[in-house]
Amino acid sequence: MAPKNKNPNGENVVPEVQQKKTQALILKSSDGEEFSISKSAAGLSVAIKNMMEDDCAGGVIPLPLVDGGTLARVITYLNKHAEDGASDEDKRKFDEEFLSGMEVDVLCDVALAGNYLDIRGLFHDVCQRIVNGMKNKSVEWVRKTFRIESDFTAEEEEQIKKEYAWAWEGVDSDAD
Amino acid sequence: MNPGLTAEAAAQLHEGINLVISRWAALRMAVENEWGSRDSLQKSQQLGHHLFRRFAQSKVKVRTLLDVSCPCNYNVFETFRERICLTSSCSLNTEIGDGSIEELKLKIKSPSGTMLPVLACSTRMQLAQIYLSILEQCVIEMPEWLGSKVEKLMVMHEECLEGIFESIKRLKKTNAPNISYNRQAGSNHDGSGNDNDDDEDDNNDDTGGDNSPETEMEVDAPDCQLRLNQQGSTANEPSPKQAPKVVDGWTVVASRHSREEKKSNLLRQQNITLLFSSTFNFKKCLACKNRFWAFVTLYTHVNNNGTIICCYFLFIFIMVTFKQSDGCRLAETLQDNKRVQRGQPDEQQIQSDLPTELLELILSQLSLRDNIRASAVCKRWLNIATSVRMANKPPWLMFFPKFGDLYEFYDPSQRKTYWLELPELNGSRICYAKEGWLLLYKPRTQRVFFFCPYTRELIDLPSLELTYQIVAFSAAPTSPSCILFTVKHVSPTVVAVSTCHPGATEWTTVNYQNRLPFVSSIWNKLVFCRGLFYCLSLTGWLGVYDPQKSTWAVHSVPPPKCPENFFVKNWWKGKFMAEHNEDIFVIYTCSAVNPVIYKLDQTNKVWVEMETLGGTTLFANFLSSHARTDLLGTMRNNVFFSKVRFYGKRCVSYSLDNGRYYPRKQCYDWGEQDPFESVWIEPPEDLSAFL
Repeated sequence: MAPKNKNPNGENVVPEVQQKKTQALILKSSDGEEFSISKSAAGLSVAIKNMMEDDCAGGVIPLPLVDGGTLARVITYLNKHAEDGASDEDKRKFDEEFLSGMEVDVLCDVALAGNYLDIRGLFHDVCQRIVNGMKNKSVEWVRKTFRIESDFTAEEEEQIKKEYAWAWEGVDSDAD
Repeated sequence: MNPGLTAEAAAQLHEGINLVISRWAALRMAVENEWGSRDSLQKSQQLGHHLFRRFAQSKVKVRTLLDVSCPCNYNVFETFRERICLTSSCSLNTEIGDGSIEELKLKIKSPSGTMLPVLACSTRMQLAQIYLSILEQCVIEMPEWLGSKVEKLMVMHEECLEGIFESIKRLKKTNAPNISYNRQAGSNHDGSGNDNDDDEDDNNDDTGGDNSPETEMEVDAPDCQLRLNQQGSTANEPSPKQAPKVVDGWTVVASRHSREEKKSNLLRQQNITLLFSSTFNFKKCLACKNRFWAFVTLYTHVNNNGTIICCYFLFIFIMVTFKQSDGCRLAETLQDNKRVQRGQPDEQQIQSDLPTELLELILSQLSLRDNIRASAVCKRWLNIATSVRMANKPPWLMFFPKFGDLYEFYDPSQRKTYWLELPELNGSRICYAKEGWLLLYKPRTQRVFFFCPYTRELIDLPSLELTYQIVAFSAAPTSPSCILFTVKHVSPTVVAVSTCHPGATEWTTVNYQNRLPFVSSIWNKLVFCRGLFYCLSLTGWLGVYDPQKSTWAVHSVPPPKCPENFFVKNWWKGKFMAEHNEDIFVIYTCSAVNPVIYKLDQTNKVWVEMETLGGTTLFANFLSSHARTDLLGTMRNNVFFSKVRFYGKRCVSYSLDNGRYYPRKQCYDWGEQDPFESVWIEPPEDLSAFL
């Protein structure tokens, strides 16, 4: 059902978009927001694809584990990756730009959504981004960023620090 | 100025923008009630002017600006939204900062706080959560709602570019919406009203204290809702968002406005009603009363126009109450708000939100240092970080027996010994080891061959007479870049360099003249680094062979300084050379004093004595010395020496941290050792090969 069949010279983009729209489905986030997405883009998510194949995609697909903000981001990603004209280089550039603006908590949300919707590439890229973000950061920074409260006693924490004192050398200051 | 915009179009655009702004209900309210201090009107006009200039200067074709799904435009679009948020916040910013939201939140959350004396503690928490969740919702929806405005402005701009002014005309035709709110309800703008208010509250406190909080809420809620309906009935909103926005490929269905959705939003509305019922109790915490009434008025719109407007009003309210005037601060505050709201109610909740699989994946990709620090975050992270920790393994020490085919392998990290029967090695002498491969020499047949003890793979090389001369290879023999190199001095000024590679039929030998005297050492002080073979002469001069260009040179790097009190006997044996990550190390040892370690400073061409190795560990051996980073436990910053099995010890180590040998030095006379007895070798993947 590739829209490009209708578009042999590959120049006129508008009919393509409309074609996609005609076979759109609606994704509903946990907070009730609804997003329409072309089937080709949605199919990049293995989870949604399975739902479509199981024919529960008649109307609205509820995604109770994804909130609206995250879903909007995921859809932006899917749309780009389903774009017919986009080269791998374009996509790579897009991914870079797409992820660079996100805070860690947003990244975690997107990673979870990517995992839940089974979008391999997105999941992998986002994880990589989180990993890079944690590079050389202090324990306190990590706790703050991931909103974790330490359940160690002071002695236990001291023990780890003592055992691996070298791992604490030259850590970035929390200011940045 | 945008060249595409004629003077007339510019004027029209400006007017159109002003019209849109004038129909911006929340802004009008803000202006009419001077929430943004006395010059609110002026500020709103500034906003219009600012927007106009922004559009007029815009070099980007607006059609593409509208294409939200396009990645770069997505950003532009976002920037636009942000810009407007910021602009409006700046222009409506007020100098009075006393009723800040943050303060409000703190007060709600404070368990001993007096501001909600009517409500029991649990309800107060509930209330706080509801309040926070609404705030959050508002923050989330705000850009979307503003986005619709932007879109409208963009369409207008595009029309102006083409000389059509239809939407502006349309705007002009429709009457400006009448924004009104119940002045009566808000009549206590003035000082006298405030006092009354406080009294009321006090009364409430007295009577309400006896009621159970739940019932009071239930009683209050419908009543308030009714009043809200009456109050807010005239509010109207020009709506660019009545039809769903269709933006290239995906539609944002404005769910909040459809009747069906209202049902699903029932809970939200109830929440808001609940909130509203209790806002009367919030009064005390708001220092500025008219701002409070503004707040109340926001909610009067809830039941008529849906939550978005409410949220937007609330947002304006937040912005008005926030003190920060510069854009960055606002952006930060927005994020902080979001974070606080999500983080405060239940931190554990968020933490457990990161499923183990995701955390495993993330932690497993961290470097060893980062992994270790991550393990200090909390107990859950400790367990996961430890389970996925990837530390490097130290090399094992392989011992060559004097008799028989039983070879011993010693793992220094576990202090465990393994055995392998390797009859293939019978009668051969070990020359060098690297990447799990041994280079062996059978003196009787002059056979030279590679052997992997774990896979038993054997690769033959052309034969060559190897007397006690140094020999090394650059990479595993299975790699195409593998080159073998050996050097021996013919005379102090002439060396013979022989090279070979797996699959070659013979060795290539070339004699080179030395500029500096070079007497090759008997034991391997030879490393392959940055594509070059480096070897240390008997007296410490550095000879370098380039296998690509087939050149040999003795570098004018002064030999590493041998400490004066180093014992003279067998002194040539107590030197080792290792390479790691393009760094070259030389270790000087003797039986009398602690070892000294040098690193080659390649830019200044000098050997620098090392006080510490940092995270590196050196494994010294007569035939092939190695270095490792990222070893765990006490192995870091150590030099391990292969050692005769002396009182059961397989190897000894010297810790640079502690400045001592382990076990404490007895008599480590390296000169007395058999150099062909042992070699460091890459540890096996698994233990299946062993006896």
